Parts: sequence; C-alpha cells; structure tokens
Amino acid sequence: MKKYILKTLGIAAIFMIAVACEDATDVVQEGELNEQAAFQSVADLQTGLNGAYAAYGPDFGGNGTGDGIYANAILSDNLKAGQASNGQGAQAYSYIVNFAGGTPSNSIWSNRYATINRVNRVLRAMGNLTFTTQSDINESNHIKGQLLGLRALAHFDLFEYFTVDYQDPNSLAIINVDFVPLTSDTFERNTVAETIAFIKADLEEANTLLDPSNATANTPIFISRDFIKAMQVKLAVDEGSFDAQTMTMANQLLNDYPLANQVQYATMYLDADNTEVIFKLARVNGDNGVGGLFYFNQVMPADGFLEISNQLLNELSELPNDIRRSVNLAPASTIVGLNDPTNELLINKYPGGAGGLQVNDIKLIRASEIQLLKAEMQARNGMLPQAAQTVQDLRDARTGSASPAPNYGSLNVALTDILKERRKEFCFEGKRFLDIKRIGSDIGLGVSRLPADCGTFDAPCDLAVNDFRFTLAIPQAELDGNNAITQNPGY
Amino acid sequence: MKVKNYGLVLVLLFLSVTSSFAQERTITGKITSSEDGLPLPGATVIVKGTTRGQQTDFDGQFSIRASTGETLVFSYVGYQTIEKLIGESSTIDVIMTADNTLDEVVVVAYGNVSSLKRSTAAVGTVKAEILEDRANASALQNLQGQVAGLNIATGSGQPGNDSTIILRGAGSINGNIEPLFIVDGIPVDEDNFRSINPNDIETFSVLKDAGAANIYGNRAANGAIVITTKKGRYNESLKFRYTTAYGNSELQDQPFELTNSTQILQFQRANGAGIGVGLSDAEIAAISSQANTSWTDVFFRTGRTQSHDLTITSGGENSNNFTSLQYFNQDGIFIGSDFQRFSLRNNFNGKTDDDKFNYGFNLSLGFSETNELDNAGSGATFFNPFSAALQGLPYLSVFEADGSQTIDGGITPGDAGAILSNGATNFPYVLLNSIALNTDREEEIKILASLNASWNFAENLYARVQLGADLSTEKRLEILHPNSILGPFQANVIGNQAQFGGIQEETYTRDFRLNVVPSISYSNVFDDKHDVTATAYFEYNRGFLDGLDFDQTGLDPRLLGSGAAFIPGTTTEPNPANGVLVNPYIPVVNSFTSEVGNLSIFGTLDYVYDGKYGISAGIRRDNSFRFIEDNAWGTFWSVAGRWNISDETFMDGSGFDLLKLRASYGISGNDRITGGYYGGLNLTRSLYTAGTGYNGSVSTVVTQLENRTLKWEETTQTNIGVDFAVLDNKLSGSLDVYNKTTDDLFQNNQISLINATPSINSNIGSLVNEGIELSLNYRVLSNDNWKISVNANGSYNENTIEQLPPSTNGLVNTGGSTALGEGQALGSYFLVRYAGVNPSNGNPLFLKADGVTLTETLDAANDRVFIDKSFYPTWQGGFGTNVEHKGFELTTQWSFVADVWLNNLDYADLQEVSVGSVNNGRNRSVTVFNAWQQPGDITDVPRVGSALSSVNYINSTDRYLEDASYLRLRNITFAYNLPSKILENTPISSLRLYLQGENLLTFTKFRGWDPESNFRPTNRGQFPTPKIYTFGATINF
Repeated sequence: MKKYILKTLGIAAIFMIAVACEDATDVVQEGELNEQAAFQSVADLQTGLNGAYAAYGPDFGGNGTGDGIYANAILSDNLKAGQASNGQGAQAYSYIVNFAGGTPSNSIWSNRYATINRVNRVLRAMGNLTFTTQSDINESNHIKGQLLGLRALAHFDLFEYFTVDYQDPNSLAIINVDFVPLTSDTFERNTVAETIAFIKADLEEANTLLDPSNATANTPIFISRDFIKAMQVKLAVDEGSFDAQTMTMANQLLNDYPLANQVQYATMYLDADNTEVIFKLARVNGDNGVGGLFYFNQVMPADGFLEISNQLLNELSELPNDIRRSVNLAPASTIVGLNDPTNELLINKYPGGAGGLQVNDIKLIRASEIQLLKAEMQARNGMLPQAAQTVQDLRDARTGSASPAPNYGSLNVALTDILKERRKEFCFEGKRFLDIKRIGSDIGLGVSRLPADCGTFDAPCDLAVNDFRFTLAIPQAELDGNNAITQNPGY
Repeated sequence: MKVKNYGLVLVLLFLSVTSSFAQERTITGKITSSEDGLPLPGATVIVKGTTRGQQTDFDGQFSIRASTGETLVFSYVGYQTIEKLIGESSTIDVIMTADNTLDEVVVVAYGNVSSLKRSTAAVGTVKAEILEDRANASALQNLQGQVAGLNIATGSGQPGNDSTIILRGAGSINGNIEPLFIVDGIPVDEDNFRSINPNDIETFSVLKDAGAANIYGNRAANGAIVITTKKGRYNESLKFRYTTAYGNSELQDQPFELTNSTQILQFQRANGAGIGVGLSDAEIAAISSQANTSWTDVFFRTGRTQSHDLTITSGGENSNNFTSLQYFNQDGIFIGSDFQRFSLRNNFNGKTDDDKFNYGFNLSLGFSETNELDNAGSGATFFNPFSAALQGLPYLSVFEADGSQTIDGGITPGDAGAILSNGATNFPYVLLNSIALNTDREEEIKILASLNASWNFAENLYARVQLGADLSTEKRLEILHPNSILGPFQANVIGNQAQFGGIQEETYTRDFRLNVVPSISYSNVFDDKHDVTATAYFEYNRGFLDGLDFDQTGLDPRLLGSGAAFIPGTTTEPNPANGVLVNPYIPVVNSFTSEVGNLSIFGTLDYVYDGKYGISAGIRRDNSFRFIEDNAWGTFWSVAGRWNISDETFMDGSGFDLLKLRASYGISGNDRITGGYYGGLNLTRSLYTAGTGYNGSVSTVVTQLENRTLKWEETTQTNIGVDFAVLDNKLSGSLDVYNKTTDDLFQNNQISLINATPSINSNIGSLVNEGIELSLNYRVLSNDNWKISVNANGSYNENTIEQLPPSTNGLVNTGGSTALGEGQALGSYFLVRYAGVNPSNGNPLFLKADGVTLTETLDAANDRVFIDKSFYPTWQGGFGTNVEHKGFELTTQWSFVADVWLNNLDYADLQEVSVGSVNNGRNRSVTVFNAWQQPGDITDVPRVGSALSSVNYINSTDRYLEDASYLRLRNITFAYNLPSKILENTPISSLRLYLQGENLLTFTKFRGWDPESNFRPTNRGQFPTPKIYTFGATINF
C-alpha cells in the first residue's frame, strides 16, 4: 500500500509541476508598445507628429484608386484613358455610383480621419505629460500648433468633399473630431456652422502656439503661421465671406510669396524651387509615389494608363509660351493632331525626383492659389477690373510676357475665366473637381468632356451642374460601422 | 507487405492477468494468413470471457493455458476474428482471412485505438497502403475523395504545394478553418507536409464529430486528422523493402481555342489597333509563316518524377524498429518549377518483460528543396508567368536567328520602351527571361520527434506521457538577376538609371512547436460486463516563430549568389533627374519573433456495457494566451454513445452482420482568431509602433485598437450515425448526419472610420454547416482467383451564415465579387447579373436588382444580388474500384465536387474587347470573332470598344462565373505481383511492379486549364494540376 501511495504522489507531483507552466498563457510578444510607454518626452511627441504628417495623403493611391489628387482628375475633365490602360479608373470616370473600398469617397474619408486620429492621440498623450523647462514648453507648443493645423487641414478637406452646400449653416457637414473615439461609439455629422467654427478654432489656436522662431518655420514642408493664414483665406472663400480682413491676409501672403517666374515654376515641379510654395508635403525615398496615380512605372511612352485630356491640352495651348503646357505635357508625348484619338499625352506634373521615379513633393498651397482666390474675392465683391488684373498678373508670370488683358463684363464672365485659369494652374493637383463643384454651380457649369476624351473610356461626357455626385458619398464602410450617420442626398 | 497495427494489441495486453486455474492445460498452435500462407506474428489469442491472452511469436506460434469447453478467440487487425471451441486436441492451427472492412482499427484521440465495433465516434479511416504507389509530393493530396466530408483542395500544380483542407464545410469566417493535424501524437503545422514522406504513413484517421475530435479541444473545432506512421513488430526478423518509381507529368487538356497569328492580326486590323493595322492579307500571312508560337508549349513541359524508398524493419523480444529513407524528385510541368525531398525516419518501440512499461520514440527528418514561381493569380503583367503562358501573342517568335530558343526576345535589359511598347506585347519574353535567370527557392528542414511512454504502475492504473516537437526551418531565396530584362529597374530612387541592378531577398524562419501531455488513467472491467476507463490529462503547448529577412538591391553580376555580390549601401550615385547624390543600394532588413501558448486540463470517461453499449464523455478547460481575464478559460465538452443493435438477440437472423447506432454532441473551441497559428497574438491590447514618418523621420503611430472582450469561437456539433455491414460483411458502410454551428464567430465588426480603421476583431455572429455523409464498401467477389471490390463516398454540406455583426445590416461586401450575407453560404458570389448583349448596339446588358429591368449601366453599388453560388462546394466525394486476379491488380479512384463556382478571369481576359484593349499585348480566344458588329447581331460577346473590361466583369458581374464542378480520375493503378514460385531461389520474398496515373481524366464545364482551386473566388494565371504517370517496383527481401 505504501508503494502505491508513493507512486500516486509521484505522479501527482508531475501534474503539479505541469500546472505551474503558466508561461504558456502569459504570453506578451516582444516589442509591444502601449500609449504610455510610447509618449514620454517632447521627442516622442515629435515622432507622433511625424506620424500624423505621414498619414495625410491627398497624393496616395495608384493603379486606378486614389485620394484627392486622383479623385479630382478622374472625376473631372483633365484625363483620358492612356495607352497602357487596362481600365484603371473606368468606373469612377463614368460616374458610376460606388462608395465601397477603393473608391475616392472611401479613400478620402478614411485617410483624413486616420490623420485626425493620429493627431488626437498625440494631443491626448501630450495632455498627460508636464514639461518644466522653457525650451520643452516652447517645443511642445510648436508641436501642438502643427497638430492643430493638421487637424484643421484634414477637417477642411472633408468639409469640401462631403458637404453639399458650404454656405448653408444648418445643413450637414462632417463629424468634428477632437477626441480619441471609443470603438463602440457612433457619430452623426455636425452642421456646416459647427464644422466651420471648429476649423476656425483649431486654426486660431494653432496660430498662437506656432513658434515663428522654430527651425521648422523656415521650410514650407512644415505647418507654419503662413499655412494657417492661407487656410483661413481658403475657408473664408468657401464660407462666402470676402471681407477686408481676408483680403488683407491674402495680400500679406502674396507679399511674402511672390508668384514664381517661368524658370522657378518649372523648377518647382522638380522640387528644387520654393519661391511660391506656402506649404508642400515632403515626399522622400520610400514614400508613396504620386506618379503611380497615372503610370505603372514612370513618365514614358506606353506606360501611362491615364493621360492628359485633349481638352486640357487645348486650353494649355491657348496662350503662347505658357510654361504650364511644358510643365504638364511630357516631351515624350505624341501629338498626331487636334483631338486625335491616337494622341499620347503624357502627364509630366510629377516627373519623379530625388525620392524616386514616381516620387515628388506635393505642392499643396501655392501663391498662385492665393492670387486666384484674391481675384475671385475681387470679382465677387464687384471689383471686376481689379479681378481681371489679378488674373492677368498670373498669366504674365506664366507666359513670361504681357498677355492680353481679360475683360470681365460680368461676375459670370469673371468666374468662368478664373475657373479656367485655376484648371490650367492646378491641373493634377487635386482641385479641379472641387472647383467645378464650388465655382461651377455659381455659373451653371458642370463637367463637359470632349468626345475624344470620354470616348477613350466609352464613358458619359457630361456631369450636369449641381449633380448630386459633385458631393461625395459617405463611404459604405462608415455607414456600416456607424449607424448614426446620415448619407448625402442622391446616394 | 501487410500493414499491421500494434496499438490494439498493446491495449489488449494491459487487460491480461497472470493467474491461472488448475484444470487448465497448454494449447499450442500456429496462425497463418489465408492469402499467402505465411505465419502471422503478433496476432492475439484470448480465452473468451476472460482476460487471459497472448500474442503469437514471429513464427505465428502461440501457447496458452485453457480448459476444454472454453473458446479461444483469434484476432488480428485487418483479419476476420475466429473463435475455436477447445476440444480434446491440444493443438489448434488457425488460418485467418483478411477482412478490410470489418473491425478495422480506428485510431482515436491521444494515440488510443478502438475498433469500428466499439468506437462511438464518427471517424473515417484511410489505410495508407492504398495510397502508396501514388506520385503526389504531399501526402495530403492523396486523400482527396477518400473520406466522406473531407475536401483536400490544392489548386496548384507546384509539387509539394500546400493544400487547403476542409472537413464538413468551412466553420469560421476569419478564424482557422482547417482541421488539426496530429502525427504520432504531435500536433503539427497543417500547412506543411511537403517534407514528410507519404510512404511512412500507415493510417489517416479523420475525426469528424464532437465525440471524436472534442478531446483535442481548443484546436479541433474543425475536426482532426490523426496520422500514424509505420512501426516494426516484436519478434520479427530483419526485413528490407525497396520501392522505386519513375515517371512523367504533363498539362491537362486545354478546353478552349486561342487565336493563331493570322487570326489575331486580322482581329487587330479589323479593329484598328496594334501591328495588324494596315497590313494586307499577304503581309499577315508572311508574319504568320514566320511565327505562330504556342506560348503554352514554351512555358509548359513534360516533368520528370523519380523516387527511391528503402525501409528496414526488425523486432526482438522487447524492442522493435522501423527505419525508412526516401529520395523523391519531381519536376513541375511549368519551367522553373521542381521539388526534391530527402527524408529519414526511425520509429522505435520498447517494453519491459512484464509489459508494464512501454515506450516509443519516433523521429523524422525531412529536407526539401522547392524551386517555384511566384505571383500565380497576380495581375502584375511582368511577374505572373502563367498569364504569359496563356496569353502571349502567337506572332512573337520564340527563336533566335540561329534557331535556338530565345531567353530575351532581343530585349536589352532595362529597355523600358521595348518592354512597354504595344501594350507590353513583349511580356512573355520578360517572363521567359526571368525564369531562365532568376532564383526562387525554398529549402526546408523539418524535424518531427515524439516520445510516448506508458506505465502500468498499479493494478488498473496507467500513467502515460507524450512529448512532441515539430521544428521547421525554412530558407527562402529570391534573386532577381541583375542581367535579366527587369534587373536594371530594381535600384531604389533611380531605378534603371543605377549602375547596378538586381535584387536579392532572403528569409530565414524557424518554427518550433512543443507539446507535452501527461495523463493518468484507470481501466477496469466489473462483473465481466462493465468496462470502465477514466483518464485525466494535462496539456502544455508552446510555439515559437523567429525569423529575419533582408532585401538587397544592387548586385554585382560577377559575384552573384553570395553576399560578395552586394553593392554596399554607402555607395552613392548621382540622381540623373537633378544631379543630387543618392544611395540607391540601401538594403532593407527585418527581424521578427512571435510566440503562442495554451494550457489545458481535461478528462475522459469511457464506459462499455456488455460490449453492446458504449458511452464516451470528455470535458476540458482550455486557456488561451490570446484572451484575457474571464475570457481566457473556455470550457468544452462532449458526450457520445453507441448501441450495437446487431448484437441484440432480437436481431438474430436479421441479416445484419453489424448495425451500430452512434450519436454525439459536444462543444469545442477555436482561438485562432485570424486563422494563422501565429496570427492575432495580442488583439486585446491597443498598441503603438515606430515606423517611417514624415520626411524620412521616425514616427510613433497606433497600429492596433484593443478589443478586451475577445473570447473563444465555439463550435457545437451534433452527429448521428449508423455503421452497418450486411450480406456476410460484403456490403458495409456508414451514414452520418450532422449539424455544426459556430457561435461567437471571429468577425471584423465594422466601426466608424474615425477610429482610423474600418473594423476590429470581435466575437459576433454564427454560422451553420449541416450535412449528410455516406460511405459504402462492397466486396463484389472474393475467392482464390478474383477479388473485386468497389467503394464510394459522398457528402452534402450546406453552409449558412446565420448572423453577421448588426452594424453590417446582414451584408458585408468589400467591393469584391463575393460577400458575406445572412442566410447565404460562406463564399457566396454577390454580383450584378449579366444578361447578354444588346442586339441593337452591342453593349452588355445587366439585370437591375429587381431581376426584371434590363440596363446597360453597370451599377455595382445597387444591382448586386446573391445568386446562390459559392466557391465552397456543397457536394463532394469519391468512388473507386479494386480488381485483383492472379497477381494482377487494377485500382481506380475518382473524386468529384459539385455545386462549386469559380470566377474565370483567364477566360474573361481571352475575351477582352473593351475600349482601348485591342492592342493590349495579349492573345484572345477565337470567340472574340463572335463580338457584336452590327445592329441585329445576336451574340454573347459585346462590341469591340465597349466600356467594360474583363476585371469589371469579374469584380461586379456574373458573366464569367463558371461552374467549376468536376469529376476527376484521381488515380488509376495497374500492378502485378510476381508469383512466389519464380522468386523461390532468390533472396527476394516478393516483387511488385506497377503503372499508375494521377488526374488522367477530368470532366468539367469550366473553361480553363484546371477547375480545381483552393477555395478562391477568382482564377487568374494559376498553376494547373498536372497529369502524372509513373512506373514503379516494390521489392521485399
């Protein structure tokens, strides 16, 4: 019997040892980093800011999907199918309603809110830290200023794409997010008035926090007080307030950022000149290549799946010696004839640079945009001759000589001309679709493509003014995950 | 060689006691096999109604104490049991007859064995003997069509490729759906069988129901496949067995016709694009006479297969041994694809004289080398070689001026213009060049080791321990040759402007899994009628995955193959765009490590009453590291029972040799949230990481949002089954019906995008698999001259998603061709219905969601509907025949799947007529000539220049959704066993010659090379399953 007990105990002991093997269930992987450990110093906060900047991507996408730059091109009249096309973008170009994954609606919405989320996480972490030295306090304030500026920028983009009427204060705009959300919560959109107030507040607070003496203030790749000022001008124009204060800010900016001459302009697209760059997104080796929106590999024949539309080329060719034609149209293009279906019109706005064959900085706000906003404000304030002069100044800079002065007989004529000038100036920079939405609705213009262009996709040529599709749909993924939200009309 | 299982014998031996009675005498005798007259060593002799038993020695002799009037029961696995009443004689010789259908050994959980009569579980058993001549590199591929309810889908012709295995339908949406695999007691990686020698396997047992698989608890929610390898036998002389095979493999028949040079040039001319434009008939004829290349013939080839197997078995009084060596080499049918394996296995078993202590040690070493082709299924023109083989244009010549086959088509490396011109027409040359120059190789070393020991430390009490380790190390090497056409494009920043091209990527991984299971068990028989076994187990599981990899861009072609070729990352070159110095050759390096762990305690109870009634029950508590707090522990249980109705007296004379009713019910768990063994390691925690930030800086960003409520996915399964045998056991089979419901499914619960992610992993929803399975075996004839048998199995499985996350409103469609829908089967296509071509203008027509209205506008957002078609089959099975006559054998094995659908992008590409696509550099099916041309044309191909491309049709419409049901002759084997007379004076004891073919015939409606897929929604440029013919010989000496 004793032997029995010993054996039983022996086996029980083996079990006891085995039961002690708790390491099997307390498994924490190497390299797990929680929020508290992630953000402990000003330097950590700076890395958080670096992540927030990196999230913001109007240039993201490729091979038939994309964010703002792609959306504005494919949804408007600046593109036709390229020789290498396998149908990239055909559905969006045809205005087929789709707001699932991979569509512009989904790309823009999720990218901006991802940026905002990163901003708010750094702000939350910052709130849990206390700094004592003056240099730390200044630095963290400067970081916070940039974070708020970025948050304003992301909200502003969302506002422009997803709001039907920028000037109806009670209609729905977007979700204002200044917090880190809980995954279990749902959210309805704020009103236009609330969103505008929200963006303004962020811009104003950012302005007070940004440190003009900080080293980053000297380069346009970081958010500065000038960026804030430019955003305030843009927001004011969207809002419809063309007051003296806005005009003053525009003039200040134009004073500090003169229009580039032809050489500077061309060099700017090689990322080597910042004369008129108020803010640009730095893109370096390893970053998303914006060229991938139009090319499989690089700017070269038979590689572009999207090309410049004949219509845009014709407009770029209107003024002699317009630098914008040579900046936008690659030398390797083949022009057989006017609106010839075999024209191969290669987009050259992103020729690649130091960061790689498809990689270029994204010139987000340039002096010429302020110049044309100024012209628009002048026109809308009834100062038509002044508006004409402002536009002509820009044309003179682009053509390198005095161009014929426009004659604005009416606001309609002025806005039509300004819209056209914006098309030439900002093609493939993420503005055209929004321009037609905002200015086109005032002058009764929608999208009207040449048959030579829309025929390349066998797509509809026109999108009528005020079509519901000028306001993007709230993406399906948001509707799925947030049952409190309201879809835009028409979808 | 007969395959005999020793496990049952061991179990029976535990039951024996040594006490005897006075009036007994010694009965001796010899047991031989009716088949060949040879002695049967290891057969069991038991005095009926007692636990006195013995086993025969290596001469088949036995000697047992028994009394007159008692009955001796002679049994041997795979043979019909014989009973002999003891009369006057003290010598009883017995001739036993093989019986492949009855009372086969059934391997159940944790290495225990039962018999078909006693098992309470739904288990399908395949003896590997019938698979031994087959020529597949992976053992699992041989199983397709063999077991009702089991689907082995490989979907690739790469030798050694992993298969996707589904048992009784897919039981999870995002979690693991494959069964647990156990080899000699060790849980192993279900995705890696290429380094295991198929001929070492003795049996596959497919544990289907909760009663069978629940005991494996946390890992067996999808059932389990228990593999046992061969063993030696005690008291057996040294024996050798050598098998060799040699053969060829080739492409399946091509069920579509491609245009030739003349036709495609005429197509281009007629539609105004490509080099055909403006050519006269004579000019087209001239080009066509120069070249009419079948790129399929260029890329595909006849592959060779060869194998050599040597096994050595021996056994002494207290130990036995099995050793095997194998070399296997198989070419893929696509150039650049091959596989070879060297494997070594040793299985050793030992015991004490009194049988109280037994142990076994199994060690398997496998080394395999696979040369393969990446990018099957990819749309990357210059990287998917299978698309090039299908779609290369015929007017491109494959010959150099001197008549040799080109490897570059005259294209200078780095010449982007030549590569891209005319819609990248030259892409077949690029692929040909890449295959000729590049390297894509995986080398794997796999070690499986297991130790099991059993100690009968006190009367009726046993202690057992099982230790197992599965170690896989893999080295993956990919070199894109700097002198290949694509070589110069690889450098960072400046691409083909850099001085050095090429890229070398190497990945090393080490995967080590450890499993320890001690157990203690009590087993006894009360009053001769109550047979009770109770066992308590503890289980400890760990897995460790480590690895590192690097990508080096910039290789010196003179030094290729070693690190000496790497251009240092510090090297600078001017960027031609702006003259700025850049570093084009900076390597990318990475290192990774993950670990997993589980802890379980569990117990089982088996009770048998009078042999006729049996109940098995199990309960277990599992702890997964993936869950926290109260959710970490899951409780799972099962109950199973049987009633051998045919043993009841009222069934006497009923004609049933066996009629057994089984029922089981149980719950098991799944913690593999994201499917992979090393997936979803810390989803209960919000995590940050450092990454590349803005302007080349370091960033800190959130990577994962926590879900602290994650818990076990639970599968509840009910199974009712019948095992039967009638007509003197000639006809036998099983019928099972089951319902398998998975609750708390791991699903991506959609959340607002303001969380910066569209979804988080959650436990939401449920999924049901319901089905019926039937297996039948019929021995048509069995006499001295002829043995004819047929077998068939089939299953029907209906899969229904019952509940999706509420946020989805019952539909999850991420824009692809399939979607998740409540009330729909998993893998259901969700597409706009194509309604043909509008005769008035040649545009495609579609049905609106209402099913009535025709439209030319493809409105993918609003007109998609579920069309009751899924890429998982509902019907599957197999059937086969076996005929033996005077040493000749003819075996066939067919398999089928039905009601399975596959989107055929390959065929869609061959019918591409969308605007701007005429000169897309790709060949067509001759059916493009059916394209609509003028009003009134009735055709199924829209006009050339219509809006929608092949990808549009595939992603959004059912135009190319094809029935991928097939019936395939998996295997046919013709063999001849030389008569033993001829071999009498040779050292050879038997010699068998055979000829076999894999996949020789396929019947399908699918318009592609191969309808078989591994449950993917779309087929594009995939590696088709080959036909394989081999000739082989097996020699025993």
